[in-house]
Amino acid sequence: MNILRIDMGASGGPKVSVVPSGEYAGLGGRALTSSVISKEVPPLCHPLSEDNKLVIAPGLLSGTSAAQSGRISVGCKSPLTGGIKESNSGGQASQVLARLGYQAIILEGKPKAGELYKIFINKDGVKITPDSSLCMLGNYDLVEKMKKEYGDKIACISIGPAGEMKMSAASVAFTDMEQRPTRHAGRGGPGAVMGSKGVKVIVLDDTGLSNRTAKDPEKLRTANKTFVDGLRKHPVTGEGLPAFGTNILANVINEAGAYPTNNFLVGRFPGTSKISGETQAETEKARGGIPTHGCHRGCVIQCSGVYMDKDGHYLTKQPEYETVWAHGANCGIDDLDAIAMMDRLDDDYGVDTIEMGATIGVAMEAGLAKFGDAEAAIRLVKEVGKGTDLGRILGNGAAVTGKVFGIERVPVVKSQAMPAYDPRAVQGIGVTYATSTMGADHTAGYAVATNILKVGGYVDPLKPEGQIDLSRNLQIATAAIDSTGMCLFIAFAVLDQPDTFQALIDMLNAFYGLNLTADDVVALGKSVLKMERDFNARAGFTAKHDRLPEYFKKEPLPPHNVTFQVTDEDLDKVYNW
Amino acid sequence: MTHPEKSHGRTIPERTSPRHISLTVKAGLIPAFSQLLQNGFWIKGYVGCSVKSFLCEQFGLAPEYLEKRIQTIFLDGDVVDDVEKTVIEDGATLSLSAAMPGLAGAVLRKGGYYAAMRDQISFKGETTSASMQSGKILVKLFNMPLQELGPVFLEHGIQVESNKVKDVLKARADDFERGCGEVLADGRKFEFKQLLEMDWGGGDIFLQVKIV
Repeated sequence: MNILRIDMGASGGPKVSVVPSGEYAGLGGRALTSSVISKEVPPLCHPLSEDNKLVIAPGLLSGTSAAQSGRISVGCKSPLTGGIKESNSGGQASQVLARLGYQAIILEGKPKAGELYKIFINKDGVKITPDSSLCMLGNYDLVEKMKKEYGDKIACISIGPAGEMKMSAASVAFTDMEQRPTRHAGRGGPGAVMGSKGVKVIVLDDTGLSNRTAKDPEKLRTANKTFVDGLRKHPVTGEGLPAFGTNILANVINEAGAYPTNNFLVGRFPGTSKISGETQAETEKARGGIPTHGCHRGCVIQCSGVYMDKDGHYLTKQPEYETVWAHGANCGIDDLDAIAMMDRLDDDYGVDTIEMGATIGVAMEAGLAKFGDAEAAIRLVKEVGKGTDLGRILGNGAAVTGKVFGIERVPVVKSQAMPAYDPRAVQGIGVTYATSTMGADHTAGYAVATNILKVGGYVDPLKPEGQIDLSRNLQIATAAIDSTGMCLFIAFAVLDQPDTFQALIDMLNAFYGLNLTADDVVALGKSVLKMERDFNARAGFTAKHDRLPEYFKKEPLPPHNVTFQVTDEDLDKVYNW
Repeated sequence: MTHPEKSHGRTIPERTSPRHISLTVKAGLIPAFSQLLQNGFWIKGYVGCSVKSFLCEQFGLAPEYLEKRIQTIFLDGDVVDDVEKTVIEDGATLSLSAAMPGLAGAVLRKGGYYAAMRDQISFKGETTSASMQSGKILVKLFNMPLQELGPVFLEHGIQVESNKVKDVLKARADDFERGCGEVLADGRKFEFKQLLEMDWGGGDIFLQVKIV
């Protein structure tokens, strides 16, 4: 496969180079994006400068018949955190881009101010065209316009107005199977970097192309069948997620007292049953929506869905657990329709739902609206879309909003908002929030397969230092899974079913003709984390950045009334390996 | 039945004698009770026994179902790791869930590999069997147990706030009007519409829902 490099700042207009993989051969997903950023981007550069790069990389098995292989990674120096960033997404683009034969797209340089481009890629090549008519279009209108222009077999990678305004919460959107811009690489503001490159949309068309061919197609077919069988028979990937989506977690996290409510003030939300995955699924079914749906072809788990409004018209995709929490409990809102509307607006403007929900929570604490006021929350999100002065503050995330309005209780690490698990109740997750190279990130330690991967050897979970070791191992395992480009939700089936994990390794080996072992996958995860950590160190990050905000150590969280008790000394041990 | 005792530091409210409402409905209407079951309902039984004893011996839950299907259990918000040693006291809240996705799901699993990551909220209360006595507990059902055990508990009968039940029935009154068979209030037959027109008063009722 080749890498498509586009210098958006070349004299005479954007310049396309199709180059061999070279030193990046054999890498995909996060391993590839972090390698490129680590080696090619000056760590001290401004994230919106010509020196930053935006890397868009499919997974190792994208474009093949392998199930769950449709994740796509987006990497850059983050405008939100100032460190390295990899944010990944579902959607159709990963499969299409891989079938087009590209290991990655790398956007480099920076055009003259005000120029906005669309990029069309098909089997015949790459065409880059300035198009001012796209300026400030929402993602939904933008995709409709692209469908009229290029037909309905396309996949789009785009930014909304937030990306054009270079807001630090801006996402990169990817179209789903229905060609709606509902899947987002949201965390860390990659949409702002795409906006700084003057790229509004990349349109992919793989018409006339077929799946990538494996070195050993029969072995791939057999391994894929074992893998799919494993996913289908596991209660999480085969039943819970398909039935209720990721928001299945709401009731359980709430019951644990770890469901951040009213800007992380308490750990339980009285209105949880009104916004739970169970209620959401029933609501969708009753309105003619779909509670069981994939975000890309080849998805077996089907944890997404389609959310209709009260009149039975499409409103948005099934909002994820994190989104429902961020715009719901975190803002004291128990109205699913209002939450779905904010999800739609976030997708249309192109902003990270977690960052936006956390930001609205901070804004509510600052008195801009009352907790529980859904209409006011929607108005605040609309300020972002309009790009008003207030909207530009909010669109730059919770940390900026907290500073502007003088709020101490701002739930961020490395300026990135915490997701939907209060680290005081589940302290091991707090360790990962604090020490992740990405800023507060629930997926940074998501690959719960460390025992199968045998990462870090035996860990005694009963010892106090156990959670430090566990967090380290989880981060290594997650970096490894992210680097394969597989959906992280495979982790549960892999955790419980060694044959399912082996099937994943077998698929990689069958496709590339390799003899990888679990140890090789672990080594890959470690190398990715090492690169990312090194980049951040060169960008000025120290151990002091690996900390939760002080108030998490001081304010007890009801109902368990616990504070974050992991010491700084222990946090500093996470990267000792 | 009244429960003035204190349990887990909180007072259980006085309750009037519950009136008994029994409905026979089409299966498609069972999801209407979903939020009631998520929020919790009271069931009577013998307390002072283990979680396993309470669910399996008193309510007939198959031990294999408890072991394999119910992977996440909370007792008064604390994560339960050992269903055989953890004792249920009168007035307690017991929440039942299947295995959950993600790191949080793995962390909260009973006896899970990642239990150390939530040590502060793990159940550390009574683990030796106290003397058994009659009492009642609040049960919350989530996700797969909600779908699978919800109809069983509804048929067995649950104690819930009457106004919440009425809200559920009113919210889908037309559906219940069409899909409801026999309607009994304290043993007397009524039309569904008459049931909604009644003054239910406050307090709890004993609700039984059977599937046609």
